[in-house]
Amino acid sequence: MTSERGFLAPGPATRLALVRLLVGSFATIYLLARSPVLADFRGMAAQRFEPVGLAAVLTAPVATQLAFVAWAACVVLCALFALGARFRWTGPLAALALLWVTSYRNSWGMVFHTDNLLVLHMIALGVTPAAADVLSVDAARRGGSRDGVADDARYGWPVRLVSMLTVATYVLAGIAKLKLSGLEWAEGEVLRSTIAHDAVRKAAVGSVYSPLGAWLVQYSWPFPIFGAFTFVVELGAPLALLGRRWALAWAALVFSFHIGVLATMAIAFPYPLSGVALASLLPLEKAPARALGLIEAACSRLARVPGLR
Amino acid sequence: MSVTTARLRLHAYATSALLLGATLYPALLPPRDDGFPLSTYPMFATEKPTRVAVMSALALGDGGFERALAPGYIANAEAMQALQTLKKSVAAGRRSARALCERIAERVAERAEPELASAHHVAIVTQEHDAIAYLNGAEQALSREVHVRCKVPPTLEVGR
Repeated sequence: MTSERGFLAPGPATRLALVRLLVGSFATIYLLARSPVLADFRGMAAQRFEPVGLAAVLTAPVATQLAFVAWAACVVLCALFALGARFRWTGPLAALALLWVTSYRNSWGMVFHTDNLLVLHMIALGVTPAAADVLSVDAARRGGSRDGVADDARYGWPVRLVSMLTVATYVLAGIAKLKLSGLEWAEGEVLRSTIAHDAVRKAAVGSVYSPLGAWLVQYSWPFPIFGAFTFVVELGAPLALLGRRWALAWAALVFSFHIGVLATMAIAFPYPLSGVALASLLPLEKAPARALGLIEAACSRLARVPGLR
Repeated sequence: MSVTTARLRLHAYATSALLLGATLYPALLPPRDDGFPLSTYPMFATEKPTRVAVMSALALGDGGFERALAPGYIANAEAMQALQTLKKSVAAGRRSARALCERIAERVAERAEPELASAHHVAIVTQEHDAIAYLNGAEQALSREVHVRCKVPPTLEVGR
C-alpha cells in the first residue's frame, strides 16, 4: 500500500470496480438499445457524411455491413469490459471501439452531445488495469477476493479522474454559454427561445416534443429561475470535488437538471439520467455486502465459461 | 520512492493530464468550433429567433390531406439528423433535393402505413412559424416555400 495524499490518496478497490461495472454495463445496454442509430446506416446518404472524431480518418462512409460488424464487436468488448474479463486487453479495446462507433454515428451532419462523457469515462477506466482487480472475471480466475484487497492509491486516482472529467464537461457547457451570451443567459430568454425553437423544429418533422415545454414558453417568469439553476449546476460543478457532501449535493442537482431538460425539451441524456455518469461521486463501496457477494459469485461462475477462462 | 510508486505516479499523472487536458482544451477554441468527442458544448447557448423557419417533408393527399413525415422517412430515427439531411440536400441544389424527395416517397410507398394511405405526393418545404403561437395551437404557417415536390411511386401505390 502506498501512502500518497491528494489526487493519489488511497481509495477502495470496490468503488473503482463498481464504477467499471456500471459504466461498462451502461455502454453495452446503450449500444443495444440505440442500435437503430448506432448500427444501421442504410438510410443515410453518402453525401451527408461529415466525419468527426476517429472517423475523421475516412473520406467516405464505410460499407453498411462493416459499420454493423464494428458495432457488434463493440457490444461484445463493452460486455467484457463490464465483466472485467481479460481487462488488460478488453479495457482499452472497448474504449477504442466505443470511440469509433460513436464517432461514426456523429459523422452525419449533426454532432450530438449525449455520448461524449461516456466515451471519456470508458477511456479513463479502460487504460486502468486496476479497475478489474476485484469484482471481475479476472479476479475470480486468480482466486482473489475483495476482502483481501486494501485501499490503495491505484484505486483512488482513476475514480477521481472520472469525477473530474464529469465536472469538466459541465463547466465547458457553462463557459460556452458565457462566451456566446454572457451573464444574460441566466435571465432566461435564451433558454425560453431555445425550448420554443427546438419544439417547433421537432413538431415539423413529426418527432416527439415536450408538451410541458410548449406550454411553459407562453410565460417568461419561470425561465430566469431555470437559467440561474443551469449556471449553478454547470459553473458550480468544481464544488463537487471538495468532498463527499458536496459531491452528493451536486450529483442531486445534475440529476434534477437532466430531469428538467427531459421534461421541457424531450431531450434525454441517458448517461446522467441513469445515474451511472455520477456513480464515481457516490460511496459505492458501501453497497450491501450481499449485493457485492452476488457479483463476485456471478464472476466466479463466468470465470469457468470457456473463452472467458 | 519505490519503483512501483514511481510507475503508479507516472501512470496516474500522465493519463490524467492527457485526458483532462484534451477535454478542457476546447475551452480555448471559439465556442462554435464543436467536435466529437472533444466538444465546446455550445448547445442551448445562444438566443433563437421567435420566428422560426423550419424545413420538413410533407405527405400530401386528396382533400387537403397533409402530414409531416417522421424522421425515419428522411434519414433515421434522429429528428436533428433528419433536419440536417433536409437542409443539406436543399442547399446542395435541385437535383440533390429531388433525389431525397424521391427516396422519401419510395419509403412512404414501401412502408404503406395506414395513416398515409391517401398520400400521393411528397413535398420538401420550408415553413415560417411564430414559435410560441405555433406551440399553443396556431398551426397556420406565416409563410411556406416549396423546394421540391415528387410523386409517391405509382406501382407501389397500386400495390397497397
